[in-house]
Amino acid sequence: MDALGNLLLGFSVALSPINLFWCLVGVILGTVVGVLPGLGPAATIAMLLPLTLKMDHTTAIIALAGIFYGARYGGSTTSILLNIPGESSSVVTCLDGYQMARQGRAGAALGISAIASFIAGTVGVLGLMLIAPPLARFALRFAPPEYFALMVLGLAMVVFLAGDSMVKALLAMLVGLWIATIGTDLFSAESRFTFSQMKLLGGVDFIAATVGIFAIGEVLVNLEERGGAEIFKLAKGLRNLLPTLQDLKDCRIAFLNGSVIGFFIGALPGAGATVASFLSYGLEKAVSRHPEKFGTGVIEGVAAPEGANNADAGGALVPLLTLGIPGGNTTAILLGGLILWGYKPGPLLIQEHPELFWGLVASMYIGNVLLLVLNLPLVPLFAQILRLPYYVLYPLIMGISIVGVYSVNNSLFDVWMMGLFGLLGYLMRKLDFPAAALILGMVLGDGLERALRQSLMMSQGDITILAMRPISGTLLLIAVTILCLPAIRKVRSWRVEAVEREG
Amino acid sequence: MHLSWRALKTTQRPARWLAKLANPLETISNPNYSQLSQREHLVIRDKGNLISGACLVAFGIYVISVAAKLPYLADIGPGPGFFPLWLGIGLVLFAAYLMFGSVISSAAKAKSESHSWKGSGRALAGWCAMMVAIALLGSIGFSLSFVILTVFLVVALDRRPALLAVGVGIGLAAAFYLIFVVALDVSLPKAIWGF
Repeated sequence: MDALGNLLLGFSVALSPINLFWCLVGVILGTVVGVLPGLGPAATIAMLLPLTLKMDHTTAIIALAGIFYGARYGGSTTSILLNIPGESSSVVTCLDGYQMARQGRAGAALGISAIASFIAGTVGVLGLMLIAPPLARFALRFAPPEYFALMVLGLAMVVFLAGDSMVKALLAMLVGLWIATIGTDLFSAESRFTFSQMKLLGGVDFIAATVGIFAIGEVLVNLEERGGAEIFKLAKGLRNLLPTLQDLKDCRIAFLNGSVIGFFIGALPGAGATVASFLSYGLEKAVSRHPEKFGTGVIEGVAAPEGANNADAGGALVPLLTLGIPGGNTTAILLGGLILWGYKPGPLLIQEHPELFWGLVASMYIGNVLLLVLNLPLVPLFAQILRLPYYVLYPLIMGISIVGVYSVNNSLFDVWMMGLFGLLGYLMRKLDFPAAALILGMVLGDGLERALRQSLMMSQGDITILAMRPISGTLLLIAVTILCLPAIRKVRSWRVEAVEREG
Repeated sequence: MHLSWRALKTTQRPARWLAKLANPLETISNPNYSQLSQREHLVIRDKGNLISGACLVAFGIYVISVAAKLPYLADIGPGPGFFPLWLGIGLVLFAAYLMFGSVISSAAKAKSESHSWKGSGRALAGWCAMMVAIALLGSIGFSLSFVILTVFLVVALDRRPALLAVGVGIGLAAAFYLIFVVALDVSLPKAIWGF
């Protein structure tokens, strides 16, 4: 009842015309930012922060939060239509979303992405409203051993990304983990695998690698054949451009999965929406009745990760607002904003400034509705991009990739890296190495190594610390079980074949 | 376990055993396994797997060699060489297994799984064109290098009219300029003429 009363207070704040206007500006800007690869919400929020000093603080944080979760949705548009992940958390959406576009179901993929984002975003806001303080206290129990176990659990998802060959998936993952080691070691400041390039001291830019592997790699594969006027089929009629009732029914578990996983992972500082989207995808594939179809254009493969990366936005605000701990770059900048405006994020924020906290929560409800209202009607428009003849589409994809990667750091070196990763992506496709496994390794490698070394430092070199703590031990056990799944399935199929032969 | 390459060539039993080790599932699922000839046992399933495996083994050895020069242990806890060393070992082991697994027992299966490299020339030509365009970005700016790239893709690879290619290139370059530079204030590589 207390929460309800506070929420009504929040709505009274968020529904004021000026706050509603800036919420709309925030989600539109966020969606645009998310669509364009390279322009992330963190950079956009950082650029706009000085302007917000003149605004009312509640209005300012509503606008900036709108950019944050708008960007989560926007990243899925280019992932689905062009196989260019707009944000790191949209990488997984490429796997099935792009395949759906190739099958003439781009509209359904975009639509389900909007709906999943809305549902998961709403769940995220509910979670923020109802369980933020106890969840934040639970998140505090995550120390390096728990983070290591969480990263291992994330890596275990490679089992679900493997396709036909587990060995190739593991090799791709190991290459991804190696790429994550390139740069300066945080603990000792030694440079590793930099090939005497100053630009590599900071590591390989993630956007350059993913855009290269996915977008450029895909263009190169398509260049092999001289195609027709349209590379993708596009369904005719508005009804066919949106998800059907059957699609919604098929995705009900995915909505739940994405919402819950995204929110809980988002509440863990440093875990990230990318981890949430991979975990959600892996879980959805594990519980699906047709796991072998994942990667070929299954709608649940879009709904689950899209839900996860939107629910993550709500989860990421939990440690920020309740403990003053930012979960990543974007929330670190939001924290900077709160401090600039004179607030002290922490356990007392909710009591001392209820209009700020509840106004933000209410604006997220409104923002989710605005995102759905804005983006669902635009689905047929976005899908028209696929009507472009391929001799326009391929240069367009290459151009967007070059511009997007260059805009991150204004660095030509990153564009070169994108080109090299493009070749790697092409070769991986030709040789059936799953690119998603490499990306998984890249995303988790840094966190995994850091957590492992910190854990061993904590325990003076005793590796049993990883298994002896209850949370990390449980997560590691789940990870080992997942990794053993292929072997268990193989033994089961051998038994069945042996029985059939005897019969 | 003694693996002699001469023995493999001349006797059937070690060859069968080697292939058996390479593909345990094959030995159980293929009822005609014992009747396959030595040649069929030694057919390489996929040259792609063999070559990629060999490259990854070499890469793994490189990673190990670099990691070995870094401190394995630091004053407190693992050093910078710890993680890459184990990654390199993993790469070598799994890549060796991939190479090993590329030796099959069924020629029919080899045919169905072989990769098609037809058209790779076009793809690599497109990639080279893109890399040349990237190389030109710093000197002639994004707009012109993008037009050149588009003209190559449309004319050379797709055999479309040059006028169409130039039109598409200029149209897209103009759209990029208006959206990114003018509307979003994103800076792009420029030439001396300003775009």
